[in-house]
Amino acid sequence: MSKKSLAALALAVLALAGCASGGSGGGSGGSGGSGAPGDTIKIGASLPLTGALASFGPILQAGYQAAVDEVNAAGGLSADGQSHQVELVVLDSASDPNKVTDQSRTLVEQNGAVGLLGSISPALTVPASTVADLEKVPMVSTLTPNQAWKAGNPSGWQYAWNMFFDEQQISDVSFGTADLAQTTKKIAIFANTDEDGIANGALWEDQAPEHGYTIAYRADFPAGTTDFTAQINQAKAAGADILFGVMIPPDAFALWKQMKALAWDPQVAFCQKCNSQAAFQGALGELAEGASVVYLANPSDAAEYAQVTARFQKEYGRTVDATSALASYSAAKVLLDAIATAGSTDADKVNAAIGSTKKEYPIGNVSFTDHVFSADVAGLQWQGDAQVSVFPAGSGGTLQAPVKGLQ
Amino acid sequence: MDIVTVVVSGLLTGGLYATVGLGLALVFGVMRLVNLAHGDLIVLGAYASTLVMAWLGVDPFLSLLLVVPAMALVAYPVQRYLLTGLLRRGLEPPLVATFGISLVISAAITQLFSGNARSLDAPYASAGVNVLGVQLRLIDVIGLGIGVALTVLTALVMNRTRWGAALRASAADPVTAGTMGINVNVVYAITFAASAAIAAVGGVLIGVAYSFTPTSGTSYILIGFTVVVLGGTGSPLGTLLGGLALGLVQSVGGALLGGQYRDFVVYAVFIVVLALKPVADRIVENRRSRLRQPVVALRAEGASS
Repeated sequence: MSKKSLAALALAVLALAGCASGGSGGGSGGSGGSGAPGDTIKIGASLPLTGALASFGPILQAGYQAAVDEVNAAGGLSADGQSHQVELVVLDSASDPNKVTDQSRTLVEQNGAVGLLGSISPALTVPASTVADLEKVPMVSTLTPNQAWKAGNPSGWQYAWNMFFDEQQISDVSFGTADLAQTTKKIAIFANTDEDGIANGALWEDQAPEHGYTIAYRADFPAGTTDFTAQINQAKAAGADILFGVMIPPDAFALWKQMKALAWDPQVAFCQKCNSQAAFQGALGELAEGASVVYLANPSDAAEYAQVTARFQKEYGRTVDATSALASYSAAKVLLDAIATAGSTDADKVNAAIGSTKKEYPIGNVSFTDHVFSADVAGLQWQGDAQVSVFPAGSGGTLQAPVKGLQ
Repeated sequence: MDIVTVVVSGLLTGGLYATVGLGLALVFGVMRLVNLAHGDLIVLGAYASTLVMAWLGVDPFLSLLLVVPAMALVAYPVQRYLLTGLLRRGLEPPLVATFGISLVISAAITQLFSGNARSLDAPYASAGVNVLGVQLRLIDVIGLGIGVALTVLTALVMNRTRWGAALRASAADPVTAGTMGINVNVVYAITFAASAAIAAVGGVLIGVAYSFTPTSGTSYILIGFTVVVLGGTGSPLGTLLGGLALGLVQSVGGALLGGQYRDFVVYAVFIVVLALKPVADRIVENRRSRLRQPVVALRAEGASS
């Protein structure tokens, strides 16, 4: 191989390594209101419509758009003495945190967004929250565990707000659900090295003894890992029959297939983030049967949300996708209601209005403490085509153990 | 840590990596073309298989009967009428062109199929097999078998057929090959088509064994380049050995240092091999010329007497 060829090859690989964290580029247009420039209030979101977290992007967009459409159908928002239609501008981050930062800035500085809506997971929501604070523009997010999100700014967020559940709740429900099965009390943690993987993994490891469990094995791996053979064999050798996992969906698909092939069939298998959307069963089919996740509990049954709840439950079935869409709808509603309450698009007034929120939304009775709202959670398990609530006890379903799809 | 399982698992994964690298090595070895779209061709093969599976209800590997020729038919004119012309202008224009093709493929797949991760469903995707007490994934064994078969087939074609001779001649000296009556442009186009066909096989393997998204191609082309550097571009056997070596290094490195260092180990090995390869090549060449010297001296003696 000549030196010239070698140099070209090396250059190409280095360029690709840089691109590998970028994914494919491009943005997609927004949708929503009409009217001459200046008549429309714009809110923006940088969402993963492609890339590793692409299964969440359209759901978030659907929830945000539903809130915008509802407000526009009711005549728009009243601000600064005038009525304004609302436009949602969405850009495709391709699941790349660097793009989220650039696009959030673009939404504020070029598109004129007066408020931002968040993405999924700390990896994508924290960069947007950082821009919100720097640009002093209010932002409301969901689908991002609270502690990992707060850790993104140790001195405290100023303009960013998050509505989801936190890692402590994940830990409590995970152990509580595992208590429902007959196990060896030995857990294997499979956590990727993203913020939520680190946060969840640490909490499970710390709190296992007080719940009477042992962490028999722990695997840490970067997102994009496809070969789990060594880790699965080590988990088996350690005698673990409970899996607590946090990883992106593509990695989980590989892990589940490999667990079945290598004959590791735990009694209970949790997969946070990966199993937080119906695409998990879509990709794995019968393999997904019995997989569990800690997620938002049933949405509010307040009459004003009956229509949107019915719409999303019809569209997404009895799965967490419906709950996710309602959570994102709630986030957008909080932002839009704050603009209406403030009667202005002034960032500080809207921000103060968000902080004063005390209202019921599908995600729950929202009020913020230290910029977060902690929603109720449940342990859910795939049983047939539905994700059934199995914890707390009496929530409607019964835990099936061992994990049927891995038998 | 069970070292036997780690080593065996690494070698099996290496079979898949060899398939990923083979097409890239072929194109780079013959045309000196760095095909930045190769990873996306792999992913395109996987998506094409989903279409055929949905249309005909067949097994993923059976779908290759349609996908492989389709991919080759699409790739042939791309090389024949676009990339060959750019090759005459140096290394950079085709590099940029293949990068553009990569973006087009990725965007087109996203538009057609959405960005959700997918995997190819098959009974053997999650089946295991016990070999001498070691539990292995059946798909990994299949992957190694396919990697070896493709390597042998490629080596046979290159070394035992007239077309292979034309290919090697075009690789060694395209100008002279052209004057000898070889249509180098057609050779290049067929090579690129073959590379795309092999990529399709790799795509189906990956789709069954793991999962894929429209942007998965980037990670596989990095693997492909590493295999090419490790194994060299001169022979398919080198590519197979490169793939096996990469799988082994990745598996052992991950087991020893932890999963979070898996990629670090791969790229560290890549950089070390890149740095040391010219030195190794020089040493080998010096040894060869020292071995030739007695023969040259004997011939000179014979001529003078």
